[in-house]
Amino acid sequence: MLKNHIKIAWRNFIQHKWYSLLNLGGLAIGMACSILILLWVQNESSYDTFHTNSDDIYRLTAIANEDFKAAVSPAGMIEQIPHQVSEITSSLRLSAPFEALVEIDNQKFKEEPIFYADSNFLDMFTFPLIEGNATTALAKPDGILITEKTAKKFFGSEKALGKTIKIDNRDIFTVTGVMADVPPNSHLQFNMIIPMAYLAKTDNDLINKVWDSFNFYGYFQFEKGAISSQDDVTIVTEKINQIYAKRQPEFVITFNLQALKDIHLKSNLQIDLPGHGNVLYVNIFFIAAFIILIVACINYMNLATARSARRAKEVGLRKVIGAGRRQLIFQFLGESLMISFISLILAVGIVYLFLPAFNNLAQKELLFSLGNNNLWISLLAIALITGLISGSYPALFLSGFKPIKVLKGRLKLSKYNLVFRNGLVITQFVVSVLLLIGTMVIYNQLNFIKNKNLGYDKSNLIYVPMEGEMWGKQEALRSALSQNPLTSDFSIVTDLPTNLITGDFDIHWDGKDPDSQVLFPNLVTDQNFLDVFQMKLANGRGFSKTSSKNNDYLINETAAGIMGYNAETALGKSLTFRGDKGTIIGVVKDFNYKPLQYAIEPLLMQNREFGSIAVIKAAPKTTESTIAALENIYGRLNPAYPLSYNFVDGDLDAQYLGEQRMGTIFNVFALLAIFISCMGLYGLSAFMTEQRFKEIGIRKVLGASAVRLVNMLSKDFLKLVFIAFIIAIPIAWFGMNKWLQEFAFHVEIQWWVYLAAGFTVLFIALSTVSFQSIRASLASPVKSLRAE
Amino acid sequence: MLLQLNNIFKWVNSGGQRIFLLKDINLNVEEGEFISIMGPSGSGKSTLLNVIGMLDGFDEGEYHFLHESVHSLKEKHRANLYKEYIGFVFQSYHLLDELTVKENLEMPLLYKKFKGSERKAMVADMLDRFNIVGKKDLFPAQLSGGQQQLVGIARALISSPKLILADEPTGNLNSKQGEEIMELFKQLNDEGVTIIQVTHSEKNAEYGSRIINLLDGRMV
Repeated sequence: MLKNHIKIAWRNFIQHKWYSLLNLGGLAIGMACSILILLWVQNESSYDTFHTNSDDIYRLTAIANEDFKAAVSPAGMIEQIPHQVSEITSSLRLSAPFEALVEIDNQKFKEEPIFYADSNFLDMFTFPLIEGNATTALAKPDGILITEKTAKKFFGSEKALGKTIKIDNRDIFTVTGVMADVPPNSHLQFNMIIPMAYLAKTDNDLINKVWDSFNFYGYFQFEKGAISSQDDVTIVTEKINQIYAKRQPEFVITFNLQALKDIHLKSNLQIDLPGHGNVLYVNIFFIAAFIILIVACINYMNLATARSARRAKEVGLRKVIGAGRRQLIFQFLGESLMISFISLILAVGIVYLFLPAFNNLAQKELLFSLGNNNLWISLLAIALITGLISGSYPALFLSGFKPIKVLKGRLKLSKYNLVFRNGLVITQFVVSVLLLIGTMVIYNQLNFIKNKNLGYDKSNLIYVPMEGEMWGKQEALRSALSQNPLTSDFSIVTDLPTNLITGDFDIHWDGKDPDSQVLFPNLVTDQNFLDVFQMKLANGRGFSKTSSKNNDYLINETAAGIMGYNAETALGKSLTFRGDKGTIIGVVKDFNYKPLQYAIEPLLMQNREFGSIAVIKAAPKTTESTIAALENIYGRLNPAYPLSYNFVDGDLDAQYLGEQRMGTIFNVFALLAIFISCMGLYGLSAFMTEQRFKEIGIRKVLGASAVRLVNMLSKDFLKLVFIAFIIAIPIAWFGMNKWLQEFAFHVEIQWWVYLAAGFTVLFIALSTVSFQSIRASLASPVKSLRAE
Repeated sequence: MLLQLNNIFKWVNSGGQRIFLLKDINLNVEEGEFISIMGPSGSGKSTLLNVIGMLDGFDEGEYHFLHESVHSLKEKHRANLYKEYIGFVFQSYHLLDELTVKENLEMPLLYKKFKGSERKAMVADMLDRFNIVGKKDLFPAQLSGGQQQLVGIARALISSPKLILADEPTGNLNSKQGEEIMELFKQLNDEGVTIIQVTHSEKNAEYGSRIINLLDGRMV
């Protein structure tokens, strides 16, 4: 019996090659897309699960107010909390990641990222050592851990353990351990770990065990099983908050515990480690994978019904000869399963072929190894589900034919059937319209980000961080830069206004509500800053020679508003920041100093002639010669360090890399989904035309023109597109607004976006359909009428 | 007695009017009979044949088939009954285009769950009996109409039914082919198979042992 079914399926397959290829192609592309997306989703959701203690580790995060939640907490607090909260067995501090100049046998490398970590780093986290002793590796301040990759880079094939590394031309460290490379799905990414004990020699936060300066990432390990529900977390968080309130009554800061596994996806915190994901995208993509698979299944259903007229006879006959309905259902399900498994094989091939490109697109190192049992199970599950879903409708539909009806004459399809099939088509159109609107809105928003006027001119700004000897030679740097006309337009600042992570509550002005607690980010600049960045003053003047001594302050318009002033009245008012009383001498027009996800907060600017970054504005088209001039200056003043420079606009673009990437992936899959839908639509229009072959013949004999016939055949689809359009609009509106909410600065969805998506789908649908209807209406009527 | 129809009525309602397709049909068929049903177009010949074949239902009356009361049977039992005892031959042959002659013959046996070796023997036997051994690997499209109908009859016979129902079996054939088919029916009847055929042709009807004439759904 099975052999007979396979034979029939196979001969049908061969005989109707075109249909079969549409079917196979649609399913294979759909499956391949889903597999790729699911690999990505799986990877995104697997972050930090490789730690043995991943369920018991939480990160301490700080909440200043609704708008400012940060991933960092105070050094002293992280250290001391475990002594006061019994559920916590140990804590770990990590510094912010940094870059350093590394010297090995007179060879210099710039290495990043590097962390300072407490000595229990290898104990809390699961980063296995290849060489060295995990318990003592971070015990001494001059030890250093490096990853296998880094060891190979530094020492080649030589044994790295015990070798020495000189860092920043100062201290010498001994390699005490070589770690296996950090898995890509770790939120901590680093090449080297230096003991916190080293930093503790100089860092004030660590020496004084402070509770009021937020500069470290703190991790707590809980007793096994101490945290089994969200309630437990809330209780411990409450305890921590009480301890803090008692210790620092002047601050109204609360804390939160963030599960280690949530850090990658569910973190919307500021001052966080770079490279975290977004649970919204994971959800969107997961749904997208499902939708693409459904679209492919709908194709199969539609194409199978398209062939039902041909297969009805077989069904009738089999029934007369002795087949039961169940046997027929099995036969058709078997056929769809066969197709879906062949598609799976094709899909696996496609995935293999396109995985490198996809990895490139998504900036991932996804693996697709067929040696993995789980992978096999999921692949088979996908094929099985696809086969069953796509086969269910044709199987039930075809097996329900009454033999006498199909054997005697034409197949009349019930109304229910038509409704169901139209429902399928509408679903596909809805998906297409949604994806198109999504594509357009994402494109608009990304474009908006790229071209948004940030309040300053970001072009041709080259910046060079202070390194090595340069820290002590800023006067010399200043004069060298100003002497060369290429570099004379420069400013020295403490932070770039691209993603400012400073903030302080210690600010007072006349009439400030004593209960209010406003966080003021601050930026320390020299006198040239406003000119170099071409920022505009709403009122007043910029810093002058005496500004530093007089504690002159510049504020932005938002700050003026918060202080109860406006640009006019703020001028000359007194202001005390970190205990320094001074005067507001100017109000700067608001500019974006954080990524556009965040609204513009108040900002305070102070004047110092020393800073950590030199920013040089190159004149247009002189970038290369400017860099050459910089190389010259820096090489002379700071010969131990190679010049490292970057572009401000490049940094700004890099902030939205995640969004850009998601946008591109979304576009690719949207196009593929629409393409798959078109394949199905083509099949369906063939079906409709086949159904009406005789009608078309009669109409032609009676004098209908080809144009009228094409009209008639396309009209039905027009209706479906319209219904789909109506359904899609509210869904798209809701979904896209949710995405746009991620950005404090975003585009509004214009009405024409909906219309454009609607018309595009209409156009695609009509051109697909008319291919068939034109062919039918041009065919000779004699043929169709004789076929009876 | 093979089957018995008592006061069979079948109708459709159209625009508030009841149109009778079959009206008070009473018919007894003994085993071994060869019956021809005749009548003009629309007189209900095919409908009657379908009712006898249990492919179609009826609205009133009683139908006994080998001591089973068909009118009170559920759809599924009814289907089992016809699958076991009745073979169908169609005007347009209704062979499966995707299957070869051999495979077409084998199909009913698959549904009756015969073993592979048995199926082979029965198919070989049938090919032999109808002299189409040489055609066993051809597809229906490669055969003439007469040959296709031959395969159709062979397929109807392969599971040894008690009754063959033939709806204008020669309707699509030329006269010579038709004659051959009718001869075959005669021969089968002589071997003991009960046959009921619907036909337009007086000449073909003569092959039967009894002729039933229908007019507007009534037996005349």
